[in-house]
Amino acid sequence: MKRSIAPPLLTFLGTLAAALVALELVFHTFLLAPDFKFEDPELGPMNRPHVRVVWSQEGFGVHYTNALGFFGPELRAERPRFRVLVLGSSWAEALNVSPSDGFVAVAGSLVEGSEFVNAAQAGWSPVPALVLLRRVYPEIRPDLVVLQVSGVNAIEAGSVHVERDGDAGWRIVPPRTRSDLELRLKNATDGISRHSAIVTMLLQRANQVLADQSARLRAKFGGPTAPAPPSTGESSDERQEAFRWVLRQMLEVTDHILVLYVPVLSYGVERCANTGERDAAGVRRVANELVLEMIDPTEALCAEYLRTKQPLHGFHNAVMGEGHLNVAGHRIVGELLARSVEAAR
Amino acid sequence: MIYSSFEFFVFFGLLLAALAALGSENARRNLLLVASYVFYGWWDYRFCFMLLGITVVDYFVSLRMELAPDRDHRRRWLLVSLCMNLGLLAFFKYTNFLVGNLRGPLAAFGVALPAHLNVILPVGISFITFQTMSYSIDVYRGRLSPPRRFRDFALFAAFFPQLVAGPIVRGIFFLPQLATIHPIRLENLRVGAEIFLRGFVKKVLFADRLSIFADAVFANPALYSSPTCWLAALAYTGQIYFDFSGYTDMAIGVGRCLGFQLPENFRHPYISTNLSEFWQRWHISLSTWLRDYLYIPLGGNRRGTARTYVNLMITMLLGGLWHGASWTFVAWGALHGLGLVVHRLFGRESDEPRPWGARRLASWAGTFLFVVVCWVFFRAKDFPAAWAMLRKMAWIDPAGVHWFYVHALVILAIAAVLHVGTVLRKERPWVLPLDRPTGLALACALLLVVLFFAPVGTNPFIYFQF
Repeated sequence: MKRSIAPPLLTFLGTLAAALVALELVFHTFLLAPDFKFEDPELGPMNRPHVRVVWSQEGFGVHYTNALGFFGPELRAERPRFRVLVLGSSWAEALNVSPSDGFVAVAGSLVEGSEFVNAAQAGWSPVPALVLLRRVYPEIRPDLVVLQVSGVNAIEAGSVHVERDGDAGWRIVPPRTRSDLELRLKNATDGISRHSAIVTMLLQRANQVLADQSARLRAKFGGPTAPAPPSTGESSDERQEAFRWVLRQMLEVTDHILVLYVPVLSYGVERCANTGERDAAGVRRVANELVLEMIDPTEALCAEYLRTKQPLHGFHNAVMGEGHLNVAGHRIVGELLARSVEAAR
Repeated sequence: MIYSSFEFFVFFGLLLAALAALGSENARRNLLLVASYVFYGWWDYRFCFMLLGITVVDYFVSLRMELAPDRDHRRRWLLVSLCMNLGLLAFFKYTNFLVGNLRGPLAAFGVALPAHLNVILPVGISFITFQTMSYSIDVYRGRLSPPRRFRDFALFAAFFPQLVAGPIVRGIFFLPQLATIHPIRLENLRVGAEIFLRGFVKKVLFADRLSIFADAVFANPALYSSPTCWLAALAYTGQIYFDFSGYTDMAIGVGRCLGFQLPENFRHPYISTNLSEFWQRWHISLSTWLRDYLYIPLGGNRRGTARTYVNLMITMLLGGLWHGASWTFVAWGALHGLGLVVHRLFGRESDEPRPWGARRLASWAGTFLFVVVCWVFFRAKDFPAAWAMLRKMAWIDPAGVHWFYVHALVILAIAAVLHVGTVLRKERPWVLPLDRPTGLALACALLLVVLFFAPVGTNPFIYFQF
């Protein structure tokens, strides 16, 4: 007699559903947030407001975005005595540590009567920071703007960048507009990935694995290479010029800008050095030309490392000494930032 | 081609589909042979000619041995096979080692040798040559007759599931399987997939994760604190086991899907309570090869106590050198040889293991500690790096970066629980029943977990370099 396929199929589907629900709960709570980005026409992917974000790839943090879509407390209705707007990338965003341990929060807790508004987002170069500054300045009206950078990256990084505009200077290139098909695909996946950590993970990993495997096969068989990232020049002078132009545009919005450079350090047995010394020099040169104060915590971070022998970058769930700042690193940068903000005040 | 790579899954899927469509055993074997060469040539097609050369020579030699009128003639033909296999192994694997070691002494006599010769090490050369040598020796000893068809012998020599990193399959194990047909069967696919999945998880989820930690610490042990170095040594202990036994499981699983049996290569080596037992559980196909084709021909334990110890040392030194052309591998082999000698000197007469209790636990701890310390020589790139690691592990200069990689701690804890479970279950294997709907659903969930935690990128297996 032929056995019915229904009972084993139902058992399979039931067990799979139970396993997926259990996995979703674990992922959602401890490991990964469902997709929390939306497409901003000027800035590209942006955080949605009021979402819970779990970060566990490097360090661990559970963060909530505020009404502006950034990580930090809500903007106070009553304007404080001194308001600082922090623009920057993942370093300032500090998803890897708990919200109160990021250097923006540390500086905020040290400068009395101040409000630090963290408007940084992972992957941002100074170009989206400029776009955002123009957008939010009238509402936030900061007394001081802190621009966190890790190099003179205005040309190549992120979906928003600048390119040469004839002899006139530079112009901002908005994010690439998606084709109809891409939009339809994105809308189809967005609905699920916004609510499911597993689907978000699957999509992310599938992209990574496909990119990795296709790059390997291309390298083996010499197929077409991926298009080069948008760039108008490779030379250091070109990059510095673009960076200078972006800072000048910011200075047209506000005079009160402080540049915070966050280094990537290499930790040795009895030695500590900045791996991006040329980047630091480039940022310093442009900041000096525009008479902007630049905070460079390299020395303080290295001194702390040589004293304690514990790197200020890296986490116990990633490679120690590599990647982003850990809690101790954030504390040192936060203290330096607080000191400079006090002085600027 | 690496089992955990995208192209392997495409290759294997297509191969299975084609094999299932073919009706005749002849056609299936021809296709398997071609597929095996594609698999090997994927890395560098030029070495397919080397593989073919070894196959032709060894098959011809075995036919000549079969027809040889006496033992002397057979021995001459065996010498041809041994010289070719060992010559190839020596040339590809040990030329630079030899040049590096002779450079200094010869310089004193005014002979200048280059620092490095551009010799590419073919993937799996040690496994291929040991496999074909065992075949020739078995034919010489009269334990095996050459297959009637050259194609069948070529399939044995190039069978892709175990071609590049073992297990070392002997002719007496594989060739009799060619007496029967091997159609694609659902039952074989199910069992093979389960074994493959087990290996895949070991490799991608455990070994590749542990390698992130072990690689970083072994690259610069002086930077790290003593507890971190101990954890890294344990992580490498786990990594090499999960990597190699994972590969073996995948090889056995792939072989099973194709309808072939491959020999067991690991039997929970880290639960061993003495070094002799460890070598009966670790890389079984190599240890039995060394026993049958080196240790016993040297005299084994039949020529007195002193000679037994000498034979043990020679076997383990060569076993160490087999792994890689470096003195650190020789040191690793020598340490294991010494350990085996000490175990023979002071060990119990009886082979019967004691019941688990304080004494057996102490024996296990001592054996495990010894194996962990020996892995330092195996992993370190040179002796200064090994000493630096051992200094840290001996708590001389304990200061440094504290890094307790969470993933390594979790994986090692899981490994410890699984090993305790293995002992409690009296070594009955853990099987995910893919023939049941619940097992199938759990396998899907397991793949999701693998996808999340596995590091991106295709990491070659450690034993590919051997």
